[in-house]
Amino acid sequence: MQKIDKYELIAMMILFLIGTSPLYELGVGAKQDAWLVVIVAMLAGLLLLLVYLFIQKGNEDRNLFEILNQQLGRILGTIVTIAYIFYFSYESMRNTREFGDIINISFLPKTPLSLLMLIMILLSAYAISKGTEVFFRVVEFLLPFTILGYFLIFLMFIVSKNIHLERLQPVLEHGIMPVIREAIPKVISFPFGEVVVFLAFWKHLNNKKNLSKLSIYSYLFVGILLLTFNLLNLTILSPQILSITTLPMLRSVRLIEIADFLERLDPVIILLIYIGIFVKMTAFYLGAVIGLSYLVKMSHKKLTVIVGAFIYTISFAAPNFIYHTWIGFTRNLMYDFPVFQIWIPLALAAVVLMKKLFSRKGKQTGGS
Amino acid sequence: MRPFFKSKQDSSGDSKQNHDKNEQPSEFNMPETPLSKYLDVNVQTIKEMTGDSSDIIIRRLDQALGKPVHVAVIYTDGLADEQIINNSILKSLTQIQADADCSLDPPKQVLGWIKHRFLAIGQVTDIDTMKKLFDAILAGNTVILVDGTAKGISASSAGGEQRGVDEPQSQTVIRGPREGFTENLRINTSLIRRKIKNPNLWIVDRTIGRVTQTDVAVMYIHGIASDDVVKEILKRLDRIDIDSVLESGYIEEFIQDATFTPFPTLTNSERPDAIAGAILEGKVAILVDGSPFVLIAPITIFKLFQSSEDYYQKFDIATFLRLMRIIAFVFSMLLPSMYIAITTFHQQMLPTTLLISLAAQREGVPFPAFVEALAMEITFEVLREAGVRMPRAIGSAISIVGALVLGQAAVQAGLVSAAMVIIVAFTAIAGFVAPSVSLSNSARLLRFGFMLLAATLGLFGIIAGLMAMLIHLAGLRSFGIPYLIPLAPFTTSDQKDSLVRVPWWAMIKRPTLISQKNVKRQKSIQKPSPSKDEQEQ
Amino acid sequence: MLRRLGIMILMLSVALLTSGCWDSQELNTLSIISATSIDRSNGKWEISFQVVIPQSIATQTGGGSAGSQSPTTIFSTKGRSIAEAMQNASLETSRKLFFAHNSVLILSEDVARKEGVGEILDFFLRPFESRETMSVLLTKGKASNLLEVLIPLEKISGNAIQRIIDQSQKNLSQAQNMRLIDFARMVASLDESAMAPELEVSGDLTKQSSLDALKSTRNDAVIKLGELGVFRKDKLVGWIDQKDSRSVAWLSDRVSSMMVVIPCTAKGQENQLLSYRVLKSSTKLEPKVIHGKSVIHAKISATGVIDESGCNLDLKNPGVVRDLERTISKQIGGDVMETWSHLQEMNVDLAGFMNAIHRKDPSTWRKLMKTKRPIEEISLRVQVKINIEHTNMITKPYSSLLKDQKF
Repeated sequence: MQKIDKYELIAMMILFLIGTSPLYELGVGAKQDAWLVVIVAMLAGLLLLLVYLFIQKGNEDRNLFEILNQQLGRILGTIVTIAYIFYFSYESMRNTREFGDIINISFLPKTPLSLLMLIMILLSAYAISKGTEVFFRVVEFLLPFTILGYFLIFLMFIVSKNIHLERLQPVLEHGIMPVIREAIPKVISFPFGEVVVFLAFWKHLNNKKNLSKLSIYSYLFVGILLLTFNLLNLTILSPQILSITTLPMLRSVRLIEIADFLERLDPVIILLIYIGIFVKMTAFYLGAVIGLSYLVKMSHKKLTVIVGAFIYTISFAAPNFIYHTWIGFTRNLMYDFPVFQIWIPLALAAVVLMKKLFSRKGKQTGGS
Repeated sequence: MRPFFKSKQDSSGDSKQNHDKNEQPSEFNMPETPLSKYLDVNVQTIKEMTGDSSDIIIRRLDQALGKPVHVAVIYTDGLADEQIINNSILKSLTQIQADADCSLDPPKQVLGWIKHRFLAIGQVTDIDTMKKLFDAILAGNTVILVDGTAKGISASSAGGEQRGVDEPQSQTVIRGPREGFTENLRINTSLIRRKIKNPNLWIVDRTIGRVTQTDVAVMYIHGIASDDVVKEILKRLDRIDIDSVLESGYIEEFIQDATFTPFPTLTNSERPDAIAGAILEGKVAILVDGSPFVLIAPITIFKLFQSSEDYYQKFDIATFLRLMRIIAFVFSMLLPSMYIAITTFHQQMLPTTLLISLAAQREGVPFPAFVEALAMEITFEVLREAGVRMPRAIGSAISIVGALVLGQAAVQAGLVSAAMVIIVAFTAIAGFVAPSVSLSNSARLLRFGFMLLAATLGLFGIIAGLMAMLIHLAGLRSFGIPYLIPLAPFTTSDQKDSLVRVPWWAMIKRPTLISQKNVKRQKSIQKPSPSKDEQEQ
Repeated sequence: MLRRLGIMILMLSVALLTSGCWDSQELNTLSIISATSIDRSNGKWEISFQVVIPQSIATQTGGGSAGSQSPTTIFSTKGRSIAEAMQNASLETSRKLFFAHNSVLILSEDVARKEGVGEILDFFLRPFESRETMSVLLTKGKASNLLEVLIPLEKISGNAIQRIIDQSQKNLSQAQNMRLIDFARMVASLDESAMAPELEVSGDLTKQSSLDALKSTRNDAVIKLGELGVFRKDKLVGWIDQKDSRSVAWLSDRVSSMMVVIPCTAKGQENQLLSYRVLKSSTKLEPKVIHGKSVIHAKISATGVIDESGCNLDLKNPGVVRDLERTISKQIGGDVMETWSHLQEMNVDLAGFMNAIHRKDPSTWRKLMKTKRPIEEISLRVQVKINIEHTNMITKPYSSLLKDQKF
């Protein structure tokens, strides 16, 4: 049984949630109130996290798939497990494709997308083939560098005098409703609700006493980091420019000019984003592998190859980046992902709760 | 020490015979035949087996201790100390008149007397087989055989010409002891034992090498070193079946955890103080006779960036130097590939003036940047290898050729750009910063891989390569210890002596994951502070 | 495991080696562009690039001797769209045009007035290669002429132009360095009018574009900043002169250093002048609604020093200095009000008044936006507070020493 310790869990939570999110302007539909969207979504997502933690607490030593089969029965459990395997693979593929396209847009326009994605999938597969423990260790090693990178960028934004705080005004020009409409379910589904994949990993934690505390603290840390960068993008680029920009963070970083020497820092951002993407796509990939290993008895390495090949294949599903982002932001985030992030976990939590109540009642009646 | 050593040797001999049963027989195996009762026969056998080698000296006496018995004194010229033989052995045998009566069985009694009463030698053992006889004389001991008994004795007389303890050639330091290991195992163990005067410093011996019969000693502190690691190391050592061990490198490749990695999973040092320090941290040292390079296991990657001098200098400069070494390592691995990536893929990253001056230098250079870098790197590697091999007297000539002809002339001829020469030169110098040669070697190899990646995919290639390297490193283990400790897995107390070094009084614990028991190194409140009287003044 | 790793490496290296390096481009296959200009002729876009010739700039090079070659060269191409014009450049250049170091974009008045800048901005914001920090400039004549002028002391005139703007922004606070991204933001903003500084050539252009020009000590032509172009939506609607652009700088809180010259007040000294240099200033705009009418309170405060004094004033006396401060305030206030009436006439909002109202009071803003010319609905009240920190190394004017001289 692979074991992970608390630092590894923290690192994983943080990097997973950071992922690609700083690159995009979350909640840009609410214009200058986008940062409020992040706060609302973060708080709503926190409730979801509590639901996930509740499910895990009720089933200490089981992962998502074991819980599903335990609580929902053999047939329904298997069906939902298969659904989750597809969901995780799909999420992994979304990240792969996204980064491949980002690289194509901003770095290597002529390099074939298939090669870029192949390299990424191979790296993820390599990490997974070494086992959960090694993957978590890699993430733990990456954490300090990532945080340092974001912190340096934050500092440089301040030093380079690009920030205009007045661009946040007027606050709530059109009332609170646009903010809430943006936040739910869009920003909850990406990135906050994606924490659902941790249900597959939490059981490996060696000391489960701290599970909730660690998870919630890491979650809040990332929430604040995302909020900071959301605010930075708003104040640097203004909501108008943001609304037509493909990759806002990349654009704002390019505005940094310090001492005629530090300029055009987009490669640094690409590095940071790559770390986030790598962690996220590998985590989903690993989630899918764990799920599949529950269903079929096969060696870990074979499963890694099978799932990797599957992810690679479906990453060509979207004909272009435009379609890919359109389907992601208008369909998946609104209708598809909430099923796996909100409705199934809620149902599962309800089942767990019911069973707990009944068993207690049963015990009480049995005792008396 | 000797008897312990002997018994171990026997057991290894047994295991070798077991090997022989199921594998191919070895003609080099010493016969386990007992000694003959007749001296002539024994002498004849020895002569036959050694091919009457001139350095096997067989000195025959017709009288010993004043009794008329035939005695042979046998030793290897050069391995044995002639002075000891002359003064202590031959003098005892020829000049002392034993007054006792030896009517019963003169030869047996004479042997007993020699051993128990008259031989002025500290360590004496009995021998009864040819194998033991050869082991003894080839170790530099002197064997005394008496006609009429099938037994002999071996008197310790090892010595002869040897290199003295010298300053180490590699890993030189400004502050720290000046002594280095020699080729002699015993001297080496004694150098360590002089530093750690503690009975818990245990030495376990093994003999490895069918032909060479090389002594290998495993040293660790019982109670600090992890038992599992010691057991694992001994198990791996016992598994080795090889004809010869001429240097610790032979053993290194047999016992390391992963072969297909550019990174060393165990390291070596020529410095007794470095080895003693490692042993005190709970590591295990493997000493091989004939090599001044002592292996240390297990290690982590950050240990490779540390020099023993870090612990002698003030902590602030030591920390600074450690960070510098890591930066230099990264430079020596990535600088050429970064240059390639930026100048051929990401020109927008450079400040305008720098870009223009680089572009001006590249005007007229006929090769792509990748080929240019590759050619320069290979040139440098050739120069470096030549520098190691060539006689010292012409070293300066080569450096002139290297620096002037290949550097300046190539730039002036427009074959390479000046910037590339700077890059390659700095890369080369940065490569020498690493205190461990094995580490700078890994950077040397990886450099070419990264250059290829940079030439095809630019920075993305470098990033992907680094990620693959990181996954690889995270999966590596050295004798069960994760290679990236203490950063991944993160251990708080070990941070005090990894990337940084805190003052000695703050390093209260030993590296935790290596020596899990007995972690505390020192009393915790030792921070120097002015005494109370001083404060009142 | 090992086998798979081997296969992986093999696959990768085959993939990498067979298809080569898609995006790599050697430095000596690029022509580095330092400035771009856009003109319009015969219904087509005409784009000119100033390309840097590295050999003639770098001090030490492998081949070619510096100094005998012009540091830059210029290409001009035409096309129906800007991108097409760019592509057509391949017809005449031996190297790939490299835009990442383009630091200046010069638009001719013609283009800015008739075509608008929307298409241009779209083109320059789209590719990842282009810099958002390039300076946007206008010119009244043909834009490509400006690229031809050699600037003394500088080898790359594109960078030099950017430095000229930087200098004038820092020392004079009249022209603002308009980065592409800021320009784009201002053009798109509901509440702000965009502006861009004008660049002009004075003198004999043809002589200064030859390398011989750099051999003489006096220049035949110089590039200098002129007026300020004002945009409504994405089209140029007019120019404001340097005095007005200084007032705009006061209103939009951009003054970092500025020279204010006032005539002496004392009798008989009307021809003498006094120079006051602003060191530090801040402007606060406070929108208010008074009697149903929008009013902007502009509170300007500045600290500075006396740099030159032809007036015979007792500058040691705080009372005199206070009077002087009042005079300077009055002058600045008057200038600002005058500019404001110009702006109202042009119906542009260069100082960001609408922005201030929008941020403070969205409902008034909405009301204003419904009117036809919202700028005319706003009235301005200026309050200037000047502080003279010191008078530099001498106190009383030097001329005071001459007063009693008899011969």
